[in-house]
Amino acid sequence: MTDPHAGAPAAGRRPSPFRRAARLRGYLFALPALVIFGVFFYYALGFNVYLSLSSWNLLSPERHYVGFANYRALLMSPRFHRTLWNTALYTAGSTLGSMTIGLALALALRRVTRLARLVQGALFAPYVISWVSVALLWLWLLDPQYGLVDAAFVRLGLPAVNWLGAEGTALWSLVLLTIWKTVGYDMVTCLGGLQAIPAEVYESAALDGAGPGVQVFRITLPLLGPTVFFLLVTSVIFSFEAFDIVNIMTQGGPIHSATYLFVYFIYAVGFQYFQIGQAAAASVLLFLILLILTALEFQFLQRRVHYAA
Amino acid sequence: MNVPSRVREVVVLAALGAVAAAVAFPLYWIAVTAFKPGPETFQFPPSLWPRRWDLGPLRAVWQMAPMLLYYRNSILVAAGILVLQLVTVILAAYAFAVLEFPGRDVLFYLCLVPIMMPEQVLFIPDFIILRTLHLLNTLGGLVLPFATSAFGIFLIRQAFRGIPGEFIDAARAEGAGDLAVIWHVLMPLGRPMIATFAVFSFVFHWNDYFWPLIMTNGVPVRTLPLGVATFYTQESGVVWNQVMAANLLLILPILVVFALVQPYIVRGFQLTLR
Repeated sequence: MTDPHAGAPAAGRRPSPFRRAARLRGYLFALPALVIFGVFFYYALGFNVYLSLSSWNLLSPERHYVGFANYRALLMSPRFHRTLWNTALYTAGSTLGSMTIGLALALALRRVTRLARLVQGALFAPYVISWVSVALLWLWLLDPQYGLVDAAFVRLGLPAVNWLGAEGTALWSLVLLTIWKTVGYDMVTCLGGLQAIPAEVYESAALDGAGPGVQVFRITLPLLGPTVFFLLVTSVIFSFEAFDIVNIMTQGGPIHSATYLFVYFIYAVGFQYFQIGQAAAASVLLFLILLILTALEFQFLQRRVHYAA
Repeated sequence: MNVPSRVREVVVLAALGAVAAAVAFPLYWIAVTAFKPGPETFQFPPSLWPRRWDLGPLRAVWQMAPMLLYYRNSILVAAGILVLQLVTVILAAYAFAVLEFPGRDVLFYLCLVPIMMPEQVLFIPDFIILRTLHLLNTLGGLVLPFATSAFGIFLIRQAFRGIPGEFIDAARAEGAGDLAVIWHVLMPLGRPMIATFAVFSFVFHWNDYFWPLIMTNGVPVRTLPLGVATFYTQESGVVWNQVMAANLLLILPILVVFALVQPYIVRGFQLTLR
């Protein structure tokens, strides 16, 4: 990624007036993007830290410095603890579930030539529709009175489950529908990675007497390392964004903050209780968590990916 | 293991077909519910095929809410974002991929960092910034913060760097300026990646619920996802066939786009990963 010469073809041959002009044009062309990021990302980042050190209700002109009081309040808040735990469970459950199933589907789909596009399309369709659609659809499917899922359970002789209405099942219901929505993305991405593995590798392994099972574990999975890494990073970040399903389906409930996820917590604290300072402090923590997670994933996986490749 | 490969393919295909049908079935359920007369939605067990296809729910949705306005707002926002992103992203990608200037790599990394930070991280300060700019409750406030894209700059710079420098030199030798090089050389050759990015961007912002929820309130600037969600939160109780009819109106354009460009999307993923 950091090859300073590859992007400038034959720059050395050019006369110097051109290069001086190129300098100005470089800044000029990058300027619009830099201005947008400058205001809505970098300035916002600093402003957010400033807000996190102050006490403010968004409406009054009064805003005063309170040091780390907002962070202390967060660390003492049982609701915030519950939010962290929920977010960890939701992220682990949806990411691992979706990646495992997506990989299995990709491995199966690789063997199929006919109807592959149709199967792919059906599996990928839930990924392109909005979270709003998903939330409304699953509220209807999981409806305790008229929902299709409970109807199926009754037909199969299983006990009815109060999916979103019980503390023990609400979060896992969200995990399941998230897996349903994202599994197609993991499948398509894995399929792309599988197709990048040269056929000769398998041919020579088969000549050495490796069966299909051995091939999957010795060749396919190790060579799929970079793809799995990419998926893990993006999936973890996506799952930290989760908000729409909580806001529409459970509002953090049914009881005891059972489905409070990180972004919903920030939203509730900031825009329902108007504690902007505390909401900003939580945003700063979210930023740091995402930064650390991404760095850790790079560290841990890059080493393994290198060994494998 | 000795099973002939034809038979194995049929078995795998049957299993995959079953999984795909199960995954797609909930989408079918939206459509079926949207065309059921009211009483039939409360029937237990539910009917898998409506006894008669009823246009009532769709008509009710269309009369109860200004759906055309929602469509207009959503199209304006998603298309406005897309056009601005294409301009800013392609210009920046050109600068970072082709031109040479001091600090180029530092500036490129500054444009790359936001890639891993979702919009949900900085919405509190961005809300206050938009308020200061008097852009709350306007369509402009839904567009401006997304006028560029870190993901897009990364992807399209990558595509531009894959284009041999001789093409660019040849165009220059014939007197082409920067914009001519971008328009006649880089954009045609980078088209698969640009198209993939455009589809992703449009679908993402068409579907977005979070940003409009935070930055707007009130019907005149309401986008489709917010408008559809209000059908669930009506005080008179949930009318499921209407909720699903509204949902169908939200999903349909996306599924049509998706059906048209599915090969682009799948290929886009593979390009992205190289």
